[in-house]
Amino acid sequence: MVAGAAAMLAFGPRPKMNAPEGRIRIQYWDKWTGLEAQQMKEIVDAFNNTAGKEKGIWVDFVSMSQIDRKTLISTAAGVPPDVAGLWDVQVLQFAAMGALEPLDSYARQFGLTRDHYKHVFYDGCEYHGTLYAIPSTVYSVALLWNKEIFQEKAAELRAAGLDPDRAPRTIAELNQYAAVIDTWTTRGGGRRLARVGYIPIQPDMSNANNVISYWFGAQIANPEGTKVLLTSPQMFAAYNWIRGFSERLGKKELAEFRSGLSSSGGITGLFDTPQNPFLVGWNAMEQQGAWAAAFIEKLKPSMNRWHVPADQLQREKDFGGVEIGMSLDQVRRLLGPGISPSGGYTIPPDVPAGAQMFRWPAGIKEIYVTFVDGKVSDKLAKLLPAKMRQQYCQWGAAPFPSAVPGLENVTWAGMDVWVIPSTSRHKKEAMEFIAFASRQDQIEKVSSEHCNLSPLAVESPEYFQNHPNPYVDVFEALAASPNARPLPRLIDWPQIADELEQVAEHSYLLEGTTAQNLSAAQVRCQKELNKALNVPENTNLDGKEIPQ
Amino acid sequence: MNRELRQFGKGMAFLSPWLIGFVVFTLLPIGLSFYFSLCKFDLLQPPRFIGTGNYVELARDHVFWQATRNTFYYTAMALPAGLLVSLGLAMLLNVEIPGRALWRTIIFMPSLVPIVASAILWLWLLNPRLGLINVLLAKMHVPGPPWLSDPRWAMPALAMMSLWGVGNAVVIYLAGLQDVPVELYEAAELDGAGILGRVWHVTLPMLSPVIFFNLVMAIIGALQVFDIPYIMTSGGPVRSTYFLSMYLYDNAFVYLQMGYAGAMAWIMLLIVLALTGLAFWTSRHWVHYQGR
Repeated sequence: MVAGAAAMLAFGPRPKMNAPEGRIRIQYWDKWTGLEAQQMKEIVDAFNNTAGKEKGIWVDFVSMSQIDRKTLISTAAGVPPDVAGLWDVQVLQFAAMGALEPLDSYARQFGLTRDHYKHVFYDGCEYHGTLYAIPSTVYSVALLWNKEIFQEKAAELRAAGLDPDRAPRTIAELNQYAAVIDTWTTRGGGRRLARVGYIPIQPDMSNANNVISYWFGAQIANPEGTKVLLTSPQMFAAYNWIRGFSERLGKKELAEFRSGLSSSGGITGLFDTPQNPFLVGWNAMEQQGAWAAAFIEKLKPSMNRWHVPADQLQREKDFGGVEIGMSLDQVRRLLGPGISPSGGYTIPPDVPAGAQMFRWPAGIKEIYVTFVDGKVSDKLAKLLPAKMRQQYCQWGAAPFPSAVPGLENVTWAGMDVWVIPSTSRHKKEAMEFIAFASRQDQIEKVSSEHCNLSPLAVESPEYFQNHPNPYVDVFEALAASPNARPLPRLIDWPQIADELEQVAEHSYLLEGTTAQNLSAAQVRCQKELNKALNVPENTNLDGKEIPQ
Repeated sequence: MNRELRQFGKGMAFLSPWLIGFVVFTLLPIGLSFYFSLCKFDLLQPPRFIGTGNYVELARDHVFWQATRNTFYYTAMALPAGLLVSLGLAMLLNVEIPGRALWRTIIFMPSLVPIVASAILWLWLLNPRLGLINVLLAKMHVPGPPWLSDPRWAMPALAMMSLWGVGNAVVIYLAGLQDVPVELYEAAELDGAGILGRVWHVTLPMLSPVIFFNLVMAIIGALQVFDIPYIMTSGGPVRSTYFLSMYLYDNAFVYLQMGYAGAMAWIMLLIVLALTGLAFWTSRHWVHYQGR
């Protein structure tokens, strides 16, 4: 057995060596899988074939689950990846443990300064004034509303003094819209909620759920990250608001409805299923990130093609039948007469001389077919610019309303990040790759493909043109807003978040008062934070004893 | 002596692959986990010895106590229910009935389904709006509860779901039932014992070693339950299905408090040992081995 093991070690299989001779190999691990991983791999390939070739670096890309744990364990073992793609929640936690390499000097060297990015993302990568991560794809959250449901309830909304053609702009308005839209049904002799206008704390949105108090002007922690501030009037208002939904709709009825929204006790939702509550109309409004557009297109594309004329919808489907080599007549039989170049559009410069290009409108897309010698030589279905696609959306996106007058465009700005583990052996080379992937063309490409946002302060016109989310402008404006906020600056945020989840659940179940629940969470969270910061137990940082 | 030493050496050499593996991958980690349980340790910084600090902290940690209560509550429901249902099914499947092999296969099949697939399946079955269980209840004019989002129903729902995997225990009971001597049933019948009498006086005593084995395995399994609640409820609502093993996992891999998690692991081990020991201690009164 020992001999067998030794033989396997000596002569057994080796990892495939793709790297050309003489290049420094660096390992890049990221959490993305499937199509998202493939899209990132394209950037890795682009680096290996261009900048990497020039500088003698080769990146091995490995897609994996539980990236945070694997990165931490491998860092502790001294064999980490050179670049790891983590979530924002780990930046402070890992930086405080010394697991991450400070990146200030590297970032300066490559021009990745604070002004290069939307400030909220750059700031979210700092811990005690030192930069420990570089934002990759980022997101903000907004209010999604279903225009069709608003139209169905137009008369009642108008009777209540509300405009059915727009989203609510304040929390008070949100409550009013929700109350009008709530729909009840009878089943099995009981009264059941069939649809809600809006309910807070939805499955699949745990981080946004735990910062719901941002829209009430609350600070969950002090800026230094040394004090938890859960008992402020703003926090009280936020969780009392959640409680109000159970009081208005009934604890049992709402529990049953919420349970139906998720495939588990409330954490894992139906988001990525055809039963997605927003898509099937159980929710008229919900809080979501820019990525929701990708799921709408995947699970219910008709919501992106509302009121598109039937012939254009059919044309979009028939586009798949256009094949290279077809004649113009054949294509016209399939797609209709089309518009010739004299119809008023400019032929792109890359179309060969002598070629003819025809255009067909197809709802949210435009179809272009190029003919050379009367035969199809190329075909393309191009999305209309994002802003133009909004007119066809059955849904809309707007800033999530704030409860505080004057506090506008509030959002939680979350992000995926790239880090260099402290025990990496190729830090400079790792930063070369991060800088390449952070280039505007690359980062906008991967952000669009992932249906997320660009972290950069300035976006290109093409980005807005091609982004799959028709409301990318709304989400980008929110991310750039001065009221966009990262996760609380706490090194033990996962624990604090769990406690806030309990407060929200207690609020929904009407267990204890809001003040009692928040006070209990405050004591426990401050104690845990002190433990994480190595501050004497049961004291605040100013030395005062925490009330028990 | 030399010969004996040589033989011992040879024996150890043959044992060494297992022995080295056991020491390096089991014994050493167990020892280290105890040492880490006496330290503040986050994986990256060197462990800092704090004596019994983690254990003292655990004693004052209300989430730990809640998780412990939940674990015992689940064990108290799932363990007897699992034993009774599996034993009952085994006895039914031991009777000569048409299609017996098919029934046995049907009962055993769910235990072959991977845990994650079972959990997802049950999530759908228990969904209060779309799930088959509540739809059937509604047809009988019984309003089904929000199984996994009501703290009162979430734990019974998990215990109910645990019965899905009794197939393994049923097979073991069936094997045990084949070993019960027919003469004992005949003797009991001659003595005037009815069906219940034969079950009580023959089947159960003869099957008691198997029951004992399944009991011990079930105690260990129930106290370490993790995957099903982790997938189905994530411990909610309001931590009503948050088990010791989940709190241990969160402390180790989410909060990165390896020392604290280590202390929890040792307390879990002690609980499992104590309950298993209790089962062994009581076994002398109710477990009967053939030929003794």
